[in-house]
Amino acid sequence: MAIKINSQNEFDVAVIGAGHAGCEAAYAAARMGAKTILLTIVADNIAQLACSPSFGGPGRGQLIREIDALGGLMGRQIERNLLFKKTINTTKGTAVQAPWGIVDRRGYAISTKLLLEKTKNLFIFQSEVTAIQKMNSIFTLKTLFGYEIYSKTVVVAAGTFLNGKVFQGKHTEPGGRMGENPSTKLVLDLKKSGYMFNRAKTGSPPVVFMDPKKSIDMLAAETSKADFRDKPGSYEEADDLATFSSFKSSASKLRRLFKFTSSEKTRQIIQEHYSKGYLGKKRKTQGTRYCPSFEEKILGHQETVGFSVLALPLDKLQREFYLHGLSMSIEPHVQQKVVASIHGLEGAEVIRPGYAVEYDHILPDQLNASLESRSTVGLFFAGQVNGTTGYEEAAAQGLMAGINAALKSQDKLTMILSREDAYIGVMIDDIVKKGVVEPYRMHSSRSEMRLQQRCENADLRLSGYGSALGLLTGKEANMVEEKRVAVISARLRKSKPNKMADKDSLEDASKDRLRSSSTIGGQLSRVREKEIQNEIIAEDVYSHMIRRENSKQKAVAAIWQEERIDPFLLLTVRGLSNEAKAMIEKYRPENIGELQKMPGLTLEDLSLIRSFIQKRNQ
Amino acid sequence: MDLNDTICAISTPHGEGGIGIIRISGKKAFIVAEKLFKPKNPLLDPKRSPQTLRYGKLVDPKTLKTLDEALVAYMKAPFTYTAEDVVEINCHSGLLVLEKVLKLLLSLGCRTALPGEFTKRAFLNGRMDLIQAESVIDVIQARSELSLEIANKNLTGALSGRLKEIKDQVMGVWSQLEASIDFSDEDIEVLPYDQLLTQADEALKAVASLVKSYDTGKIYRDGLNMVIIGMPNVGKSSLLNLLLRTEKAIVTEIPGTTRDIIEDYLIIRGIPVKIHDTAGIIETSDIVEKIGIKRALEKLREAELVIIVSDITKPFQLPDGIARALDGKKILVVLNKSDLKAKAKVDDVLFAMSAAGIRSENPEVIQLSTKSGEGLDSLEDAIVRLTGGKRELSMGEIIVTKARHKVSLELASSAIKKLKNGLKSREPEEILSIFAKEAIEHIGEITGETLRDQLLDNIFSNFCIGK
Repeated sequence: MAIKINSQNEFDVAVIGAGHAGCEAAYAAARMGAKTILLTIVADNIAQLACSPSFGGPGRGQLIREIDALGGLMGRQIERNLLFKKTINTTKGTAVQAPWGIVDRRGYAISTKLLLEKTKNLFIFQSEVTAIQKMNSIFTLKTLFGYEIYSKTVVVAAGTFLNGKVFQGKHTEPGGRMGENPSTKLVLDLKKSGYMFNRAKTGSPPVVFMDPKKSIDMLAAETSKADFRDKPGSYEEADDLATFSSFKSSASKLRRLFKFTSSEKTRQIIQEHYSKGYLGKKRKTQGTRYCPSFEEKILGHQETVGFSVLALPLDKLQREFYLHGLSMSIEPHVQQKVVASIHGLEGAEVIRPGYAVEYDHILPDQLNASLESRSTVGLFFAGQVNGTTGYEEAAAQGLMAGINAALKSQDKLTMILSREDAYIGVMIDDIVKKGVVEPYRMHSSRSEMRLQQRCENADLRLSGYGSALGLLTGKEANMVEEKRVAVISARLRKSKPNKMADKDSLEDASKDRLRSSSTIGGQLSRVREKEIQNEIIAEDVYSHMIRRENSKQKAVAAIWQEERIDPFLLLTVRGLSNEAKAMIEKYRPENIGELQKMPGLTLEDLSLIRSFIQKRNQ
Repeated sequence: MDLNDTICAISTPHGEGGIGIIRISGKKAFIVAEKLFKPKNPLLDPKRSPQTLRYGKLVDPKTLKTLDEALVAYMKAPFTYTAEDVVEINCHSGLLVLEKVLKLLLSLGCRTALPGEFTKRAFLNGRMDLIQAESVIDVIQARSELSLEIANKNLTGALSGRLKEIKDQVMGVWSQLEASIDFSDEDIEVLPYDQLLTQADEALKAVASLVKSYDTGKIYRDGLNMVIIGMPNVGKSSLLNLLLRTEKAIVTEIPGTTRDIIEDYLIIRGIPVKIHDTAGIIETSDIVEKIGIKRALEKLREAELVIIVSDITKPFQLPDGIARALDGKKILVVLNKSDLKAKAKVDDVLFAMSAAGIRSENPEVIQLSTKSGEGLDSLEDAIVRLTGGKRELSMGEIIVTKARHKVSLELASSAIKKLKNGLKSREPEEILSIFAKEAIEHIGEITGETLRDQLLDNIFSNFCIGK
């Protein structure tokens, strides 16, 4: 049956959802030349920071820089809307240092929307998709009011909206996040098509109104100082800002954050009222261990007296504060009492009470490494809908799904980052190979190559892909090449590496080397200079360990990891456990490296397979 | 294919005897047994009342001929040796009976178990870890009470337990390091390096003592290779007989009576010893004896402990041409015929040894009379002492007996040492983390356990983290 198509509603890539995943997907696909439509339930709510106004930290900071290196928008948007920034882990080595910052959430959403509006080939359209059908390799997207959209490929980036329910006090209401309608029909349609879903839970703390000059008891608060000079979210963008405002003069930038501590009275209130909230409903939905609600923290850590509460400003007006650490879903008036029981926050007024949210996410082991469905060619999933958590995780997936959807619509090969390439590769490999049992968050410990996957070298590692895909401009690519030259010439100038040298002397040495670099010395901004300097230090400090790791891995890898295998032949290996066979059938590993990463394999299984292959090779 | 098969095997030694047992394991074990076993009380359903022993007859379902009477044990999964359904048929142990029953089982869809397959299934089904599976054979082959005790301890999980303690300790350090990297901005308190150092040190000590135990363990498991040498007619064979408490070697007054090497096994204070009595090493024109001497030298090179026997009534004299073979070995010198008047002194012995250029850690000299047996006790004491053996295991003492385990332990030990030194010299967390992970991986190699997501589990169970 021929489908009626007109140029109005026919696209190469259709992206469902305009959160962080959807925005990256659409932005990348459009700039790769694919005619792209970005569908959202409410077109006013694009690129919302639904929860915290903060970005970054270990693992996530690296993700931001990798997105930036590939030409994504998140890093630049963060830099453009930055209110506060500091570097985490300054006492540790540079590989695990990461930027952490707060942005103006309104500014972030508006400027991202403007960026997308300006983007060629990209159309924003408000409508709720209720069903996805595929016929003759064209997808038909049905929308709530009957309008149909046709597309060669689809990226589902529905976030927490699928079957979303919000919880506050004794009440439960349908909602994708507080105040917004969920998407209930699309999930039914996907379930009908055979997709397996899981249910997850997360939550958000209250937002309070206060005037820092009047309401905050400065003596009760600990402060945390800003540092804008190090670890930008975007190498190119950081430079622009550094030249026009040099941060210090920018009135909207914050110099410090306020941190408070909960009291014994806080505990009493929670213990008395927790049952009138999400916890009281005794639901079986899997929450996240690294993201427990305040109620769970209080009940689970009886010995802890005070819990930290960090007040994060939501925008540059600095009137509304997000109380990090206080995620709760008890009755709104009790939330006000809880806030008032915290020394220093007595004068704060709750304007948006905290709540819990439950939603459906698909089991990501139904996807392949390009985030495409294993069963439906051309259908991609990205972001929180895949069971991850966090803006950065969502954006990274959105970017990869958008890139691959565009490539697919242009009949090109997929682009896959491996675990060895990037944190992005680690994350996608983890979720599509192992699945998720609780919302997946990036941690630096998940990467086996942490020492080599640094913020500072993200562009050195990945900008080649960004350029080749057409996502980086010539100017941007040139800046990275200049940086590469600066790092290499500093490396060539280097005297013998000194593993034990202390940080200060390394810093001095690298500064010297940088200065003596004739290529670009003198033209660099302070932020960029610091970045290159960090990269040189990293090479000094880690070269020894990295060589060691590499040689260890090579020993196994060279002969073994790349060994091709036929999954069906493996099923005939005598003595293999049933679990192993089931896993092999499910994941169909193509080489030993992939096989070893599969869950459910014992050493015994591996050694059986090893001797099987060795025998076969003889 | 494999784990879905039902396997069977004759599990008692071949030969005529009172009882022979055939073991069946797998999904079809109960069904197969039902087909050939006719219980006296047919109303009792073994599937309804598992873990029972029942009396009845074994009948060929085709010919309806009775093969034997039998007691049949029904054991329901997972509470069985293999964690699968298991049936054990206890019938009479006659070669023909057992073989007929086995053939019948094969015709009913079972397959013969490969060597060690029951244990392998126990491992694959998760009832045992790798160490436990490996110690099953040690229990079976144990030749002394001590080696049995060691093997049993490992079978019941003592070594696995100790390794888990060590792993937990290193895991504790690793979690602290990783938590401080990934959650440094959260409300967590991470232990200072000094405390991590203490933990690493404890782990290192525990690993080191396991590595050290291997020497002891190896002797109990593989036995001690001991050679007796000496000039002709000093009483080497008499000493062997004394140790064996039998008259195995031919003892005469004529020098050179022992022309071939006599080899025997005995247990000295729980240590299995393979003992070689060599030809009296002496210049000879006799071809038979020459060959004997050559072989004696070969044995000498393989030996872990050498006993040099000498006649106390004569000046101490080392046989010619053996000094090189003795170099670096553990040596015991026995001055025989201590009931007679002594001419050789301990000092002479030590002097003669060092003059011959033999380096040995403290050669011990024992005076003994093969005639009266006096001095045998101190000889046995010395053997145990020199080989690091002991009479019994102390409480909680665990002994490593496998080379595979030792290799992994040494690798773990070297990683923990690096971790410790790094903590001392205040290297950053992301570097130390690599050593901690390495140590845990090497320990996991021993038990056959893989790492997967244990780190994050451990972090989340120890820290309060959240938004």
